[in-house]
Amino acid sequence: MALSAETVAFVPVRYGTQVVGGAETLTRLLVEELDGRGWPVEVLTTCALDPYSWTNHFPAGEETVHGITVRRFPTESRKYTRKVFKTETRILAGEQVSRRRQEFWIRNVVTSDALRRYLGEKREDYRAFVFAPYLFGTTYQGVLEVPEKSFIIPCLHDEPYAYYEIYKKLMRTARGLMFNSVPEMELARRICGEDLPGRVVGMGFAPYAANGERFRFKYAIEGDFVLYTGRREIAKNTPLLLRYFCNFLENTGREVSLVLTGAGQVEIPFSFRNRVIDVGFVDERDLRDAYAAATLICHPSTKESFSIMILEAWLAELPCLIHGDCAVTRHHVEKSGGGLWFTDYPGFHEALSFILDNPAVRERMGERGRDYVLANYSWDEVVRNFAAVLEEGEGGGK
Amino acid sequence: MSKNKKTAASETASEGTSSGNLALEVEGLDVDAIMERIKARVEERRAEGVYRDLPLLELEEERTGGGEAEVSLDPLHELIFLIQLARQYAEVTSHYPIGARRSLLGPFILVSKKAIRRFMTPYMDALFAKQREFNAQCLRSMETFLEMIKRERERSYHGGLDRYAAWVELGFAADETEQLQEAARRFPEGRPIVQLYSGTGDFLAAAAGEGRPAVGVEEDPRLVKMGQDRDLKVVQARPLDYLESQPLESLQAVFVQDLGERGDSRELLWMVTALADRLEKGGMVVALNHHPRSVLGVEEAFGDPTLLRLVHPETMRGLFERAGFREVEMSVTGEFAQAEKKGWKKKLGGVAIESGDLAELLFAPRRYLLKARR
Repeated sequence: MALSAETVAFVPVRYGTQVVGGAETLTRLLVEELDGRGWPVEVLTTCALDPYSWTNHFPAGEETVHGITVRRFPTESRKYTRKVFKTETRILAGEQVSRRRQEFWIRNVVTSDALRRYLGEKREDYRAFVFAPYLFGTTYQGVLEVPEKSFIIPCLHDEPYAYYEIYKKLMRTARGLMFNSVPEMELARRICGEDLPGRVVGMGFAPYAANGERFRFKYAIEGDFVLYTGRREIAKNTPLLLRYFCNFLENTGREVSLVLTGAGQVEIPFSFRNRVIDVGFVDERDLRDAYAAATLICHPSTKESFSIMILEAWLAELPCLIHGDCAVTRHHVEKSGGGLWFTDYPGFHEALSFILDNPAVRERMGERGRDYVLANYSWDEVVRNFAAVLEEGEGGGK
Repeated sequence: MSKNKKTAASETASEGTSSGNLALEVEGLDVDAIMERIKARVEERRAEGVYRDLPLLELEEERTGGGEAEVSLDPLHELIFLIQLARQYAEVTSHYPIGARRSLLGPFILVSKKAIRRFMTPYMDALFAKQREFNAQCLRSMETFLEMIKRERERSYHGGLDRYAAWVELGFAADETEQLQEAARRFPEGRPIVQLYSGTGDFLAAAAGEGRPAVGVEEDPRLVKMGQDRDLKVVQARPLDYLESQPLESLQAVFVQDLGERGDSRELLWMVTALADRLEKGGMVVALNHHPRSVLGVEEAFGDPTLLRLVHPETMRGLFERAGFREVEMSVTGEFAQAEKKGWKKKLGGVAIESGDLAELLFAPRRYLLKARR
């Protein structure tokens, strides 16, 4: 596709239909929606697929994904040295880390010099660069390279990184921020200042057709099951869900399964392997079928900026069980009435029992969730807000 | 909390359901109120020790006593689990953690261990590289195999129109009690009959009524339950697997309805051969199938969306004879009643079709019965 100065370039750290991750999925769907509405859009990203090793998986160069031009640039091969590890450990422990050490750390969290050079050389060919998410070196490098045209979809969580000087500087350097939810915007303004530019953009949702029976047939799943979808890692609290669920089975003797989809390792105890089924990465159709087949969705993460899977699951009228310490998912659930929350094992035990025991309540919660999504997350509204952030940023004279 | 929530949750008359859990009215659903009730319940029950929350390793140890847990699970799930396990162990490296107990010699031992490892690493890495490559190939083979199975399962999905949906949910099950009774009477009394694909259990009930109790084999758990709810003997198994699991020449009498008319056409050939192998000498098979000669019978039959094809009686005879059955007899059943003929005449716009060649063709008996003996 020929470039024009009207082209909006999205710069996610990873991109592709097989990429698992909230920020990446949100970016892809937003890009596709804008493209469908006639906006000139392009994607500039890395060759990485695996969010742990960041090795180059896709070939560098230009390709087309769902009709959209995607330019891929190789990531730097950085060693996860003891110094990086120690710095990260200190950050996660909430310890003070010097600005210099922060700079050192961010340079070792997936960067691409080729991408940075491209941004610098081609800055005049694009209207704006929209980076996502805030955490990675590609965003940090990119925003500093083209500050006058940069916007960020931060996908900010309440985590130690968010409070670091380098990120505060990043947020304030960008022309505008595109938040996914009100609690995320409030968090960002609490950390970086109330005058932080931007507004809630998020992403839109539309009803979809799904066939739960097909999912059950394909994966040989019978009876009630709790669904978890997304990356399986400590940051998403997947080990906590696994522990709570196995204890729940042991304490109650109930015949209910936990079905996990998504990427990342998960260590299922041997004696629970008939009740915890990890079907791994599934395509979009299977995922929607899984929503239609499940009894409820559980999302135990406390660090979310939007939680696409909860909103998608609600479209299939699936009630949810979330962690009460996550401001964003709690906000969704309290506003909609589409589920329950827990903050410890007893709460999980009782809430899960309640949802399993009350099919009529389950149904009602699912309906409420669906109504909430359709009323609050339409693509028209999202695109309107997206355009508004761009216009505000461009006219800001920063 | 949002303002659009309805009134506060009101409890039902009892504090809990039979399972001892909370029960609330749906109309007054208020999530905040439910959460309050859950909190109160947790406080009430905490002292009872019902909320044991053990670390997974400890829980596993407690359940298995350190041994291996016997768990029955679907072969597909077993494969998925094994692949996941293999992924964890596929990557072998010489960089395992090294430690030493705290003692005066501890630091010295640690340094020595590290030195030994450094010295050995080039040799170990050469070996591990081959092992890693081998593991990766094995893993890839398993993953390919899993993908093939998933694809096959996806392709064989019935699209929601299985026999249960067609017969129970959509009401396509025809009342064929008379034909089933007639089929049952073909078996001598006292012989144990097995019905493959027993469905809703109509034949089992008809056979019991004729003094010929039978056991059904059915793969759909919902149909199995329907049969069992009618106090009929039904085993849940894929009929082909069931046949294969029986010793050679061990069955005395088998009944199959709509043989070869549903599912994969190759199944018919396999089924007839398997029947020939599993029936004892003198054992018999009775099959009740749709007769292609009956024009209106065929029209009715294909109303059932799970019926895919008809098998001509002469084709069926040939298949049984080739499989080694000695006596193969054919007869027809399922004649149209006068009332049914009148109904059809009205439906067809009052055409005079009570008698003559056309009537014979249109109202030919709907079913044929095959009786074959080993």
